[in-house]
Amino acid sequence: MKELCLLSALTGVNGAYIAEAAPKEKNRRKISYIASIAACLLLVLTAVGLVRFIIIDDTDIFPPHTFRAFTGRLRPSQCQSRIRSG
Amino acid sequence: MNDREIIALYFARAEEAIYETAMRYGHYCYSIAHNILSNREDSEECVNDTYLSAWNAIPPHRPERLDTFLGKITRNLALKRWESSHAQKRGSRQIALALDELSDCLPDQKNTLDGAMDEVLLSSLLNSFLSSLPAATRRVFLLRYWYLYSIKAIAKETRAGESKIKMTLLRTRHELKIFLEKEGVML
Repeated sequence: MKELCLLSALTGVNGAYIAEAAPKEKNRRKISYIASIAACLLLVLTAVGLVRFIIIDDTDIFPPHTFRAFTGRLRPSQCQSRIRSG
Repeated sequence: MNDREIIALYFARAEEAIYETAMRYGHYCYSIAHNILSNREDSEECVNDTYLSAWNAIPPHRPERLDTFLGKITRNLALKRWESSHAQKRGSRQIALALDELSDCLPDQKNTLDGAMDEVLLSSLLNSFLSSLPAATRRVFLLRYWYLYSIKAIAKETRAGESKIKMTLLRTRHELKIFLEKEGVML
């Protein structure tokens, strides 16, 4: 097959040209490395967010409006004060 | 571990050389084989055969560039394997397309000299042709016909449009045909 002969002959071309044309593997690795760091960061932030949602229920770390913004619920003390005020 | 250290391991006949080669160039060799064979098992076997060939060739051979040395071995082995699988009507779509495209480059019989062209001589002519090309065009040509990348993959790799890549390849093939005819090549 003549085309295959040409394709095979290309194997023997100058190594410098082959190296020059080589796909940029390192860049891809760098991009995947950055992507994995970003994914880890997102995971950590999600975990922190979840923990804050759970812990916030029993603490007074945040003021009521922040608490409501996070949970959409009222704290027990707020409920009591609303009952008292009628 | 750099190339020089890996080659030193080959010369010391340390089997660690294979492991280090696989770590550094395993993916590179696999992608070359896979672009030709389009089959995971065949490609892996081809890469393993590459390591064996490198082990047998070094020493006495001391490659200047280990990456292209291994790449050439892989490409040769994969093409041979493709030839045998092609006889059984299997094989990669990319290589079939590349071969179809390269048929444009084949000189007309009437304009050529008698006698079949030696592959080494043809490689040297291809070197001359490649040296005459601008670096960007040469890269596109080699990505298509050496690494057997698809047009889409080349466009992504070079950050160019697919139509531009197709046009570049068409022009380069046409130039190659004229060049081979001038050199009196008969395949």
